[in-house]
Amino acid sequence: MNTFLQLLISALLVSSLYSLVAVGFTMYVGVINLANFSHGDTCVLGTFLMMPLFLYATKLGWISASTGLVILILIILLIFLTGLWGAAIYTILVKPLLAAPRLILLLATVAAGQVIREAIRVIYPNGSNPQVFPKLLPAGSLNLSGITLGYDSLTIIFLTIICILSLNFIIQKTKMGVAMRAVSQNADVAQMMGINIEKTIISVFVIGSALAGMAGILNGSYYGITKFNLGSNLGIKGFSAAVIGGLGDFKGAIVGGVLLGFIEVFAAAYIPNGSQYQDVFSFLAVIAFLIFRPSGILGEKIFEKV
Amino acid sequence: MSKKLVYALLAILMTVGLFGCGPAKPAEKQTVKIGFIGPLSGGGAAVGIGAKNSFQLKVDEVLASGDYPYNVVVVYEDDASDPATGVAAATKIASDPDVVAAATHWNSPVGLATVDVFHKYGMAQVFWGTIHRDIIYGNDYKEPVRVIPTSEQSMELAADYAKQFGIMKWVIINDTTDYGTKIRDEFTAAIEKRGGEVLEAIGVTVGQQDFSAALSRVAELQPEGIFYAGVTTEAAGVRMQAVKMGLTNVLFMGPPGIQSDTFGEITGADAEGTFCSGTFDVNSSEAGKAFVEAYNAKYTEPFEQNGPYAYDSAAIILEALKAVGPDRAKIVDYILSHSYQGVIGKIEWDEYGQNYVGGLTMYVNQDQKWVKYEDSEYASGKRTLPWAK
Repeated sequence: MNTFLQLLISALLVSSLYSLVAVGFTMYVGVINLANFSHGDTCVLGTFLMMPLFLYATKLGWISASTGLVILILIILLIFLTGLWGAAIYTILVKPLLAAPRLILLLATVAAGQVIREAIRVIYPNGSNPQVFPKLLPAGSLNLSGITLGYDSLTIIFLTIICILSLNFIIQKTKMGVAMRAVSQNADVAQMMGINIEKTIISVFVIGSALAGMAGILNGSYYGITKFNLGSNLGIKGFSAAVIGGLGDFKGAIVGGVLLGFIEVFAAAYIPNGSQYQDVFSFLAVIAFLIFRPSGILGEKIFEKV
Repeated sequence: MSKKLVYALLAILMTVGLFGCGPAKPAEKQTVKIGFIGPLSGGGAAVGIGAKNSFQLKVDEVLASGDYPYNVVVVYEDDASDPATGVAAATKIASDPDVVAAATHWNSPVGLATVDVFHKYGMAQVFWGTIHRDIIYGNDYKEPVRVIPTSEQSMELAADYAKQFGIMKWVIINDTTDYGTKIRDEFTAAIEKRGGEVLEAIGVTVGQQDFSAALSRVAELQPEGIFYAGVTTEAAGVRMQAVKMGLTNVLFMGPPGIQSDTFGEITGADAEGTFCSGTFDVNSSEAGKAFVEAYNAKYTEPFEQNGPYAYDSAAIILEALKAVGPDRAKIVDYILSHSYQGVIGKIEWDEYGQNYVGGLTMYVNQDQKWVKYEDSEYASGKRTLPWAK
């Protein structure tokens, strides 16, 4: 029983990280029908932007003074920076190709991901090697009758829920969210109704990239490590989660992320010798969904896109 | 005569004068190339660069003495810890007729892939880093020799210490590479030989981040020791997540593949009291200390665990070259038929070309550094290990 509960916590943690990545993915698909394959690399970019920020803050002596608050400020700053990066990606890459077939744009995002990866490798000092990522999350753990609850896992799960709730609020309650939903249903009609399409798409890129940055630093600080090429795997997992949940569906991405996390952790634990095939199980699940339920778990509810 | 012409003539005169007045030059020494291959990029780059610097250090020292009969140039190639890249690098070096011998590789899968290449070209290949048994024993080639002890030897040492500590119930977590599975099998054999038991071996993949499923299984099995058969990055992940899950009352040990300071850097406080059945302790001899001093005077990157072996590899190649000249076949024979006194101690080959003398050492992590167990505060009793019996 204890093992089961312990695995449950791990699965929730992995699920949180996948959901955060998947939500960004699904937003792009929902609004401009684009699978942005540089999304995973944006996560990693977040970690590589965070490390110098953290180092600088440590140098200034801020970290020892009021660590929690400083880290919070750093995280907000990072979300802002990755958001800005999202706007840049849109302006440089997506906007000029918006009229081109989506396949071209998709290829462009694959290339952008490669560029981010190699740029990190070349520019960051000793960038080819794994980098020790600062432990931003609270250390220590709670022991509840044999089950260890790490404060860092709890923080990640908590922050993910906060991110998802605020995103839900933006989509459901704000003008920007209404615009996103309108564009996702019918961009032409939305434009006729006076919605600024470009502004809406930019906001999707900003929010998506900011979420990616958040996912990246949570991933980095939990595992204590980051590497220039971590993004391809993270991106594929996020994309898979979005596919399982139903591409373009905000809630679907979360469901997909949770499902993928649970499949990975529980299959590895309960299938004999499963740990070494962890990734195989998750991709088998994706294939199964593509064959038997290509629209994903929540994919049918077309009117709730984004 | 125009001014331009006068200037031109003056310039020519001065040039001739400058060269003409120089001291008489000694006869040019013949330039000979030797090769070095290691992971200069990718996950193993820290080790590769440490070894590369150590190799160059020995070459520079020998050339600086002035009486070496050849001018030696080292050709460096990157194998990126990848067998395919390694084979390309090996082919590039071995097919260059000016290169007479090479020192190679940190990663066993790369070594397994290139040993045939060097054999095909008849070039001496001195291994400074790989510890997979089959690289030397899996063929009857005379080109490869290995300075570093085998994984088998270091697993015997690991099992000796396990027995000494009274930790006999183990779970192995191994990565699924050749290296990981080999270490798994060798440790299993060594511990069973001493009456111990491996409850289960759990495979994980290189690049995996989340080990919670594997570690939950470990928690269920309640072993006395966890042996991680793999390299630093994943070992660090396993260790950190094991501590997070409360698996602290268990001996954690790894093979030479985790003997990098990076392990302590990543795991931080969680590294404390972990063990590594590693290679030679450089501070245990005068020659070793001299090497450390010379290295640190010249380089800022750490020489990591393989530096001394690369340094001695250079010495072996240079000695053979000096003795028999730039002839590949003669160098192969010379290397195999001689023993050497290196930084790591006496180097003597068995009939397959494996050094069977060089030092193995058990390390414990103390303040994020690998410290020889016998010299540590754990051995002296100043600090205690939570699982100690």
